[in-house]
Amino acid sequence: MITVENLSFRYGRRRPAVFDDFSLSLGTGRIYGLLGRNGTGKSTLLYLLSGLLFPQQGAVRFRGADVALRRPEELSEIFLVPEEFSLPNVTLSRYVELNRPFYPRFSDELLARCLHDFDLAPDLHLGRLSMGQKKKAFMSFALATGTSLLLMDEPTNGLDIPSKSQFRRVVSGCMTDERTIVVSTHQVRDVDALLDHVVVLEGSRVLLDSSTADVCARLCFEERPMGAALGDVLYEQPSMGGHAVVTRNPGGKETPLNLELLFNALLAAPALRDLLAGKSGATDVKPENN
Amino acid sequence: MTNFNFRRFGLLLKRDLMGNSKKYLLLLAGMFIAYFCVELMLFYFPSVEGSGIGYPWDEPWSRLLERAAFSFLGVSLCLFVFGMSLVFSTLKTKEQRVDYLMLPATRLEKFVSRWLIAIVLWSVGAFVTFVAADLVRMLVFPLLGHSIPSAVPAYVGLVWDEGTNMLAELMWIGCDGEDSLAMWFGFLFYLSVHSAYLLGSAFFRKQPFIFTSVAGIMLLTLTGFAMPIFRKVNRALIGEDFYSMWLYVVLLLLLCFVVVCYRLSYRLFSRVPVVQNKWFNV
Repeated sequence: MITVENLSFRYGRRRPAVFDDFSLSLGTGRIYGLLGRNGTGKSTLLYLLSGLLFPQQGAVRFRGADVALRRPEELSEIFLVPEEFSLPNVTLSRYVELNRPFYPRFSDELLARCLHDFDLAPDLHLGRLSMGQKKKAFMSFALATGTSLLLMDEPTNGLDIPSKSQFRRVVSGCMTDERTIVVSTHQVRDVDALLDHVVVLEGSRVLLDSSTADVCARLCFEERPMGAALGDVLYEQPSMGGHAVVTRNPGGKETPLNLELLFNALLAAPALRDLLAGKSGATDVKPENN
Repeated sequence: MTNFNFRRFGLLLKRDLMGNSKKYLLLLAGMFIAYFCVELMLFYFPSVEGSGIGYPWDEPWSRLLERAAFSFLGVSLCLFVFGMSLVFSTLKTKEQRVDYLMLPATRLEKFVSRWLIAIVLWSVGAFVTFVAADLVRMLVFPLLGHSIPSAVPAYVGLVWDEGTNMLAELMWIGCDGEDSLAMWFGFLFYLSVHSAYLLGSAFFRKQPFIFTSVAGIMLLTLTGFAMPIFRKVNRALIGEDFYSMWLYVVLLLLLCFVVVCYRLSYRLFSRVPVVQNKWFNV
């Protein structure tokens, strides 16, 4: 659906490149998690995907069209929920009335369902909401637009604990085979059960671009008590109960994906990336932290 | 794909007006206050019996109102120029840029809608607020024991007379060539100032009116240094034909300046990035 082709981008001539000959492809019917350290360029990538920033080289193509042209045909199929946004001081119904004509597939039913799941009244006034409530209202509108590509930058920031589980329920409920959702976040625990595909960025390159099913087929994420054997461990970090470990998964055992552990393991163990990429020689990965 | 869809353009206008209604009402309130202050300055003392600072107290009101109408016209023209510097005020913050640039409409539709709102707001809105200010003044003054008739008829008459004279001179009707050229110069000069502020609104991310004014003052200062060179040119020596040709060249340059300002404004608007930390949008 959307491809990033040999993209190079920097903020100003004297600043270091955020992306240098960067390529990525996102398909339909998936919820992508976009992870990376602070300053890696996650938000920048979202802006580039939506045509809000212009690359110095390369292009971002949505269904073959360059998004930098900012044509309404593409814009009506792309919606961005930024980390910080402004809403006018009007009622939600007025906001919907003014904006829905721009999105041909807008669904009132979907909006009502999202508002209900977020415990928001349909007759609310946007100017009288807290930040978290505004975020939920805005996300409800975003999901109701029915756009093919929905980009969300730190969507769970500012949400209380119940709202985070509401978020997961709402987003998964709005997912279709024709839709692609990209969630950029640091709050990996809020979204690890939601994601179909993980993209990890580091230093203007892709560390990992893999489905969560594939990751879990190749790796196990476990908790081991203090003093347990760690000989087969690929990566280990201290946890409350002892050690949080990543091991190979030769037997096809199903363990829940631990995104935080995976992220740390990818940064600390470069050979792990090759294993996940299925590169030759990856079977010779030496376990870390023995 | 059409580059301009009228239905979508109408939706853009409606969204802009309804979504920013409170901001526009505040701007109109500001215009009202400006006109009311001018009304007070021009009419308060003359209206007080026996005062007449600068005006004989028995002077017919009609002459006072005719002179005042020029002041109101000057205020209107200044407000109109100021309004141009706010055309792209909807792109000041990152949040506003994301909201507006992601809207599914062409760049041309967005540019024209912002331009049209500024033109209508600062022309029609200015007239409406002037009439309202005049009405309030006429209601307030009698409570203080003095009054002056409405300035609206004199203002409307002035705008009509000056407007029709201007059109006639621009079309060389009932006037000689020099008068027409002078009118064209005045018209294009005002249009140049107007379009310069439009370009300033697109170019400067912060305080566009102030920075555009500073740039304009600097340009005028440089022009002032160059003027003595032109003054030394003896009109009789170079001949009337050559002198008139220079006027045409100046008019052409002003017209080109207007076109360039609009073209650059559109280009800057089309390429505005969402993340912009510089003082100008380049």
